[in-house]
Amino acid sequence: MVDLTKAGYQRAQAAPLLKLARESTDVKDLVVGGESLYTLVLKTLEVEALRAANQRFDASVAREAFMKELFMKHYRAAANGQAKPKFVLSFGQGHLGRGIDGRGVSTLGNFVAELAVSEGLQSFHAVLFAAGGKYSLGGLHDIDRRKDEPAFAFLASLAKYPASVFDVRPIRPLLHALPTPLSSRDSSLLYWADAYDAIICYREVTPLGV
Amino acid sequence: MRERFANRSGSLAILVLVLWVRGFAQGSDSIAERLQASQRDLAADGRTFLLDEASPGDP
Repeated sequence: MVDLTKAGYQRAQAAPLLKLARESTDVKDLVVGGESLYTLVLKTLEVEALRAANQRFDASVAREAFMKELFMKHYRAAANGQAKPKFVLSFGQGHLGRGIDGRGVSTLGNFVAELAVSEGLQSFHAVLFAAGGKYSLGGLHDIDRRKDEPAFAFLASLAKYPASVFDVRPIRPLLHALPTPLSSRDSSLLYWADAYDAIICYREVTPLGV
Repeated sequence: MRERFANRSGSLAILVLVLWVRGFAQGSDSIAERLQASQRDLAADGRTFLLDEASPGDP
């Protein structure tokens, strides 16, 4: 595996690396964030191998399923012999909404929301978006989510502060009562307002450490 | 008579259309109003959110 990745990792190497990882018998494992590093690498390579084979949907489902597995492991450990634990999850934008997301995947957020119902608890879902600025991921990039989502463009047009919080729960019944077909703005608003309880609009974001 | 009736029907249709358009516009306006009413300044609450690591997402 070390030889294969000598010049750096490429997604095309995921399948042969996965094969080697599965065949490994003498593994010096570490625990990272409460999980075996070997398991983390194995699961990552499984997702990567699916992506390399252009099986995007299967890769997304596998990735989300592993997030749920990890979450349940931590949740069960925290709940062991104690009152029902409270917890905060912080993930990328697509992972914490209720329902089925734009990829067709039942997200980690949906799983947690249903778990909360089954436990007689509540979940609160908040999503953040940037209406301008830059982010850092393999270099600096511009970001403006108004271009991607009509709902974000609308909320940004209403935003009065550098960081505005919108409670979208009161607009759910209004959106569901609108005559169909919905405009692209209202259709987008309906999706985000059903998935999340609060939407936070940052007028401009700057990456940390820059 | 028929002409007058046709004219009235036309007026009625226009009235219904105007009412529907007004109702639709009010529905959309009330969404904006509710959102404005629920809007809060995150900084004024003394809370900030720091995104300390970027997620690779689903490339």
